[in-house]
Amino acid sequence: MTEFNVQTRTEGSVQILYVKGYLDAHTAPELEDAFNKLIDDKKYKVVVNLKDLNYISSAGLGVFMAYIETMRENGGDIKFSNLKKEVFNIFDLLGFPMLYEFYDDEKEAINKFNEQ
Amino acid sequence: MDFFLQKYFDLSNKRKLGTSVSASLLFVLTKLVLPAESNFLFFLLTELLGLLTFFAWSLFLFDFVYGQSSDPIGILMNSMILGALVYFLLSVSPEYLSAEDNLISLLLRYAFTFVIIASSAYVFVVLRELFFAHQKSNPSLYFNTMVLLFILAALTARMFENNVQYDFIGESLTGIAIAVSVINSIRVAWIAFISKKQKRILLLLSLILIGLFGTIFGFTEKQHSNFLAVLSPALNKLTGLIFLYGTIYFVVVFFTALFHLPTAEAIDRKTHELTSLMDLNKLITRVLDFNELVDTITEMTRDVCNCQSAWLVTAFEDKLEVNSANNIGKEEAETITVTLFNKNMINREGLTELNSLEQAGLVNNLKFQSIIIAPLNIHGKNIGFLFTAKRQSLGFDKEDKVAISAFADYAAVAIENSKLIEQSIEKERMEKELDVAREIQRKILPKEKPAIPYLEVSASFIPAFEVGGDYYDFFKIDEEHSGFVIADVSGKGIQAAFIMAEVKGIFESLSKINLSPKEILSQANEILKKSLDKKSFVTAVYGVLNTKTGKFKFARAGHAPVLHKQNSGIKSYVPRGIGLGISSTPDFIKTLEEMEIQLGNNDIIVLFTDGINESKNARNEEFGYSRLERVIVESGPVSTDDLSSQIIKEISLFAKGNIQHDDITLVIFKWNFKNKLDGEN
Repeated sequence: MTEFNVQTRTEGSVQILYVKGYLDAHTAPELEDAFNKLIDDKKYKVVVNLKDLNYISSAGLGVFMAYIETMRENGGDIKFSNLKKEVFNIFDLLGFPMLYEFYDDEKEAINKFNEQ
Repeated sequence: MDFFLQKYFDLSNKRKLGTSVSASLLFVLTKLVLPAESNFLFFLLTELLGLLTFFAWSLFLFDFVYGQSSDPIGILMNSMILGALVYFLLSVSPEYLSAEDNLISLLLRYAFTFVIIASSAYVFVVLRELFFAHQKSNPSLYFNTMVLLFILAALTARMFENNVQYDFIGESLTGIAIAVSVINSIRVAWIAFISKKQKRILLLLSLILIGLFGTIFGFTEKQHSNFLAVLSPALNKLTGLIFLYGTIYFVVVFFTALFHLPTAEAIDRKTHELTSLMDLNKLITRVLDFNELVDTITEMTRDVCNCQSAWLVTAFEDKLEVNSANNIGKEEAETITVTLFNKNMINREGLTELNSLEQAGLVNNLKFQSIIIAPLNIHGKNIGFLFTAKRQSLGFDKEDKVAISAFADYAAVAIENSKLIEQSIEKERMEKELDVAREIQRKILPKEKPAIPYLEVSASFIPAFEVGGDYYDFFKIDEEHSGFVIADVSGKGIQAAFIMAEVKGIFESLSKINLSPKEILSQANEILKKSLDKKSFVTAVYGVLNTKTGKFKFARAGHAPVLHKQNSGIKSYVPRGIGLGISSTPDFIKTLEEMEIQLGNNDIIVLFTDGINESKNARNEEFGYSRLERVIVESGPVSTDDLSSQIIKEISLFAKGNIQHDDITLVIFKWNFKNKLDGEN
């Protein structure tokens, strides 16, 4: 199994999180740490690039649910990009696309933030 | 005799004091009333009463001295003070005390006498306590003989004053008593058991005691100028003999202590080491808290080998962690440890000895000149290291190293034990919790299939080890309508089980009101959004079947698709809908899509949870939707129970003993239109 990790990159006012591997109850705390750090730094515009995410469990989905409100209340958002089909299906089944923005490419998501 | 003494000892202190005072008064009274000078019998009686008073006081004082030989400095100090008092009284008492018969001199004489009796009684019990201390065999015969000789010598001291030819009896008894005293003076075993510091004090004390006691003995020998001798020759003699015995005894004590002094430190250290190891041994079984345990270990190690600093490091898969640092900063300890470890300078099998830290390229702020590192090994596995450091070069001697090794061995066992206990407590707690969760789930799920006309229903549920929070239920709404719900709570264990219980309550009450599936899910969302934490959600499918018309109306909230088998074909319906508890929008109902399908004869509806499609095989592949659909299609015209067991069989063949991570729930129903027709005909 590929190792799970979260990396952060800054582009202008937007933070890009690269979540890699297998996101479940065991690895979720690492993603939470990354979000907590963003909130501590008052950075609320987040693009989550999931090109290397292989699986997400309900605990993983819960992490995004937990932080979305804080981001939106502070004029930011969590937008997703580059999802593999299988992973998108999990989000889709749960109805996430009705609540969150999904993009094929990271650039589009960043541009969306900058348009505002 | 011993029996009576024992009985007497059991009496309370108050009673013993009472007896002592009564004996004293009786003695004074007899002395004043009976003309002892003229009558031998009266003389003997007062002498006996005098001795009785003395022993009564001894027995009373015995309790205050008993068991004090392990720390004898205190009782020896008291003896010195009382000895000085007796010395003072005997040396300053003017001659007229023994001669004059006015009231003041009479009172003074008796007062002084009782002070002397009590003081010598105290010295006597102290000597007795020391005599018996740390004796392996019972030497009471020697001591009792000596006491008996003291009494006889005391009684015969002046008994034959008028018959000089019998003087030899008293003199020879005194001689034998002194000889036995000398023999009894070798009982000084207790000296070996006191610390070096105490031995030094003892040397000084015994010199003072020799001087004091010797002089007191000298005073008692002057029979005509000392008031005590005039008042009671026997008491005078007894006091003399006791102080003489004391003098001889402390001469022996002085020399013994002197010869013991050079080895005292080594003995002290061994004793300290031994008691520390014993303490540690107790800790192993008693201390459950890991941090407390390692702190105690470093503290004791530093104490025993007299070093500047000690720290304990645990190693897990080459990750080092300083768990306790005594007299050194944790960061500093970590720097030294990691540097030495990375340079492979630490031996994992035996002790490592370093003379400087510079050789490892460390800046040595703490000026350590010698470092000893002991590995913590258990069952041949290295679990950490115990570090000790001193500022002197070559500061550790052979005994230190042996002690450090011993501590490291004990520490390894103690740490391993505390970890095992911690693990088993945690495991037990989790198992208890899971038991509760399973029990909740078992009680929540329906116990039997519903009896609905024209409908064949099958429900299978296979719980995962960690309760997954799956839930399904059937509700009979009215004669024509039946409700179905299948739900999956996010999360696992007891938390999921509690949410599941709430979900059951919500659906059970909502199904009683005549609402559409969409409305029911929307209401459920409103309730759950308020009660669930931000990270949790519930997926569900709620459907209502009209058993007369075969119309099946359903809505989905984030849940797995609804499968519909018709003849040899299969359809998968995924009406739009967000999982419950995720969105708090008041327009939630608008996001839900409601579907209505018309079932045909023998059509089958399959509801399931993601435990099925997410079942994994050894290659970490998922069972997926397509495999499930294929199994259903290929099953042919079977009963719902058979279809259910066929699906589960396929899943277990696919997973082949791979651990089941999530609950598996499968609800299948078949609408038997033909039965209905039969029923109507």
